[in-house]
Amino acid sequence: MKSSSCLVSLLTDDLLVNILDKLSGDDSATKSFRSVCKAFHQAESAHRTSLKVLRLEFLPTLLNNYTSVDTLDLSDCPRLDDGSIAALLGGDTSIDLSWTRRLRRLVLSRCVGLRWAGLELLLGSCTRLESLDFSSCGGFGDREAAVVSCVVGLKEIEMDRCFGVSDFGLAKIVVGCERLEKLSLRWCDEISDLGIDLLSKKCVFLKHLDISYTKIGGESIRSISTMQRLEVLAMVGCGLLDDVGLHHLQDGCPSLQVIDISRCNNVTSLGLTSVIRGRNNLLQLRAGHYYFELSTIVLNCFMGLNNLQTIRIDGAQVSEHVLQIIAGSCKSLVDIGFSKCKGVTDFGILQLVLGCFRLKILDLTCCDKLTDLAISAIAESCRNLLCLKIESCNMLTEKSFGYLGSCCFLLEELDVTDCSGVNDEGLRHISNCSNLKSLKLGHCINISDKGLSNIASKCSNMIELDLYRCKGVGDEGLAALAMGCKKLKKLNLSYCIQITDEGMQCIGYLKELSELDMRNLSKVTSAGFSYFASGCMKLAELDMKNCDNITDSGFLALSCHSKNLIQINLSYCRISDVGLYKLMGNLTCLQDAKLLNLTNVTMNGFDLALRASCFRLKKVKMLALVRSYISMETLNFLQARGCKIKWD
Amino acid sequence: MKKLKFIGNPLLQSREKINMSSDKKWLTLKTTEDNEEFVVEESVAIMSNVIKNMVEDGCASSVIPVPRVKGNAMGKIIEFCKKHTEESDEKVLKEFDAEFLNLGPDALYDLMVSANFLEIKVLLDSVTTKVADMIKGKSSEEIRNILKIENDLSAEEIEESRRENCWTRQE
Repeated sequence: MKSSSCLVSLLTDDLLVNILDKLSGDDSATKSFRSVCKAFHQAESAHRTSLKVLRLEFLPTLLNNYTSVDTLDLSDCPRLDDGSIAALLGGDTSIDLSWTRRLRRLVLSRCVGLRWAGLELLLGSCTRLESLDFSSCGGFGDREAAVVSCVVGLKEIEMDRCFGVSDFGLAKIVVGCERLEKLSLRWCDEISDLGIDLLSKKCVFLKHLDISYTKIGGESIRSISTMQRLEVLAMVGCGLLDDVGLHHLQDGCPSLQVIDISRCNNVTSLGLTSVIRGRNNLLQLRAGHYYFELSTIVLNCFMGLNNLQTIRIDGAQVSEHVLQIIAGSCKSLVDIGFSKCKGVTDFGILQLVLGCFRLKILDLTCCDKLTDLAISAIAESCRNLLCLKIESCNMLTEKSFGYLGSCCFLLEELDVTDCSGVNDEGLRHISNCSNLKSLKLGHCINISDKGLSNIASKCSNMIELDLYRCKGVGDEGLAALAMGCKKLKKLNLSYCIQITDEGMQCIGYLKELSELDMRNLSKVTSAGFSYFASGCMKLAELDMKNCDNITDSGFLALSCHSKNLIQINLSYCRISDVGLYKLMGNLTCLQDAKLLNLTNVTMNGFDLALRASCFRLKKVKMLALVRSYISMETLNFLQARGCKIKWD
Repeated sequence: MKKLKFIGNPLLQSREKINMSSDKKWLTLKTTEDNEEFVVEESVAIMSNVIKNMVEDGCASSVIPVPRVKGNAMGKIIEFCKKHTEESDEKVLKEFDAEFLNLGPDALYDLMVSANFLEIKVLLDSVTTKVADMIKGKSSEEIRNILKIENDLSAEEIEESRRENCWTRQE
C-alpha cells in the first residue's frame, strides 16, 4: 500500500491544473483546495488568472503570490478613492509592484469614489493594460477620459453610464488609443455625431461598437458605415435614429456580423431593409420591441440571410408566410425570438421547426394562440433545445409538458410564467428534463408542494427558480427543494404566503443561495429568519419588503451572518433604530439599500445608520420626508463619495 | 506463466477463435510493469492517442508494450474504452461512468495518471471531473480525508491562506 504523500506526488502539475480547470468559477472550492497541502497550494497560486478583492490593504502581497493573475476586479472595494490608491501604489518603495505590469484587464465598474488623480496613478503603473471597464463611474468626466487616453495599448473600453464624458473626452480617447477593438458607450448621452465621426476616422481596428441609448443620429451612421473592420454594432434605444439615417448603413460596414437595432422608436421596416439588404454574412439580427410590419421587401431581404444564426424580432407582426420564409432561407438558425409577436400560430411553428431543427433557443413569450400541437412539433424536431420561453401561452395543457419531458433532455431553461395550464402533473413531466438549470413558474397558481417535490427530486442541477405568487407552495415544497436542489443560487418566493418559519429554516440549507426575493412573507418571524440567515452564508441580494413579522432579533442575525450581502430592500419592515444601525454598520459589503417606510426607525436612527455605512454605500432609497432630518454633514459626505440618494 | 486476458466474449477460450473474426483487427497490449497481456479490438485501443499514433506510424507489431501502467488499471481502462466505443446513448454512458468511477482515491489517482500517460481524453476528463466533484463544497480538512492527503503546510502558511481568503470575494 503506497503512502498517501507518495500518491499525491504522482499528481503532476498538469493533472492538478486539469482538476483546477474543473473547479474554476467556484471560489470556495478553490480556496479549500489551496489550503490542502503544499503541492495544491502551489498549483492554485499559479492557476488563478482573475481576482476580485473586497479590500485593498494587502493587494500587493496577494498579487505577488498569485503569479498568473492578469485580471483584477476592484468594483466591490468599498473605500476605493484617490487616497487609497495613493497609499497602495505611492508610499513604500519596498513593496514589490511588479504585479501592475502583469495586469491585462482592470475592472473599475461602480468605483464612484475614484477621480482622475487616483486613476492617473493606477493606470500609470499598469503599463500593459489592454482592457478597461469603468462603467457606472458617475463621477468620471472628460478629465478622467484624458487619463485613460494615455494607456496606448488599450484594446477594450467599457464606459457605459459615464454621463460626464462628452465629445471632448471621447476625442482624447480615440486619438490616444489607436488600437481600440471594442468600445461600449451605452447611455453616454453627452456623446454626439461629432464624437462618433472622429471615432470612425481614428479607430480603424474597431470590431465591436455599442452606442445604445445615446443621442446619436443619421450622421453617426454615415460615419460608422466607413468602418471596414466593424463586426458588431449595437444601437438599442437610439431614439433619434430614423429610416433616413439608417439608410447610410446600406452599403457600408462590409464585415458586419451582428446588428442590434431594438427599441429604436423612429425606425420602420424601411430602415430595417437598409440594414439587412445584401448582408449574407450576417450572423445575428436583433430588431425587437417596436411594432413593425414585415413588408415584402423585408421578407425578400430575409431570403438572402442564409448564414443567420440569431433572429430576434420581438413585438413584430408576423404570419405563417413569414415563418415559412424564415424556415426556408435561414437554415442555420439556432436562436429565435418572437416574444410578443402577433400572428404566431401552430401551423407557423410547425413549418419553422421543420426547417430549423438545430434550434437551441426559442422565445415565444405571449404567443397565446399556440396550443399543444405547437409544443409537440417543437419537442419532436428540436432535440437540442436548450432554452424555451412560453410565458403566458395559456392554451397549453399538461400534454405539452409531457412532450417536452419525453424529448428535450438537454433543456436547461424553461419559462412558463403565467401559463394557467401548469399544474402538478405538468411539473411531474417537466421534472424529466433533469438538466434544467432555470425554471420560471411565476403566477402558476395551480401548482402545489407535490409538483415542486417532483422537480426538486429530479432536477438537481437547478440554479434559478422563480415561484413568484405561487400561492400553492408551502413549507413542504421548500423542504423538498432544500434536499434536492443543492446548487440553487437564485430563488423568488415573493407572495408565497403559506410559507412559515419551518419553510424558512429549510431555505437555510441551500448553501449556494446568493439571491433571495421574499416579499410579503407575513408568516415568517425572527425565529425562522435567523435560521435562514445563519445558513445562507453566500447571500448577496435580499428583498424582504413587507415582511412585517420579522423583528430586530432577525435583523441582528442577518447582520451577524450575511457578510456578503451587497443589496438589500428593507422597505415596510418593522426594524428599529438599533436594528438598522447594526445592519448598516456590520454589513461590510453593502452597497445598495432601499429603506422606504421604516415606521419604527426615528429620524435620528436614519442619520446614524447612514453614517455607519457612508464609506461603502453607493445607492440608497429613502422617503422624501426623511431628508430634512438627516444632517447636512452626512448628506455632503455621501455625495462626495459618489453615493446616489433617491428620494421617494 | 503469462496471463492472457480476453476482453470481449468471455466464452471464447482460444486464440484461434479470435483470429477467425478477421474483419476486426485485434491488438495485444502488454503492461511491462507486471507482464500482463490484454487482447483488444483496435477500434477500442485507439481511444488512446499514444496507441493510435503507434498504429498509424506502423510501429504496432503483434504486441504493444505499455510501460508505467499496472495490470489492474489497464483492465479498467480497457473496460471503459470498450463501453465508450460500443455505446452511443449519452444517458447510458453517464450512468456507466458514475458506476465505474465509484472508486477510492488510490484507484482514482492510478486511473488519472494512466489516462494522462496514455492520452485518453474522455477518461481523463471523467476522472478529473469526479475528483473535482469530490472537492466541491468541502473544507480543506474534509478534502484531505477524502483524498488521503497529508497536510504539509506550516501553521504560518495556513494562517496566511486564511487571511488571503478574507480579502477576496467569499463566493
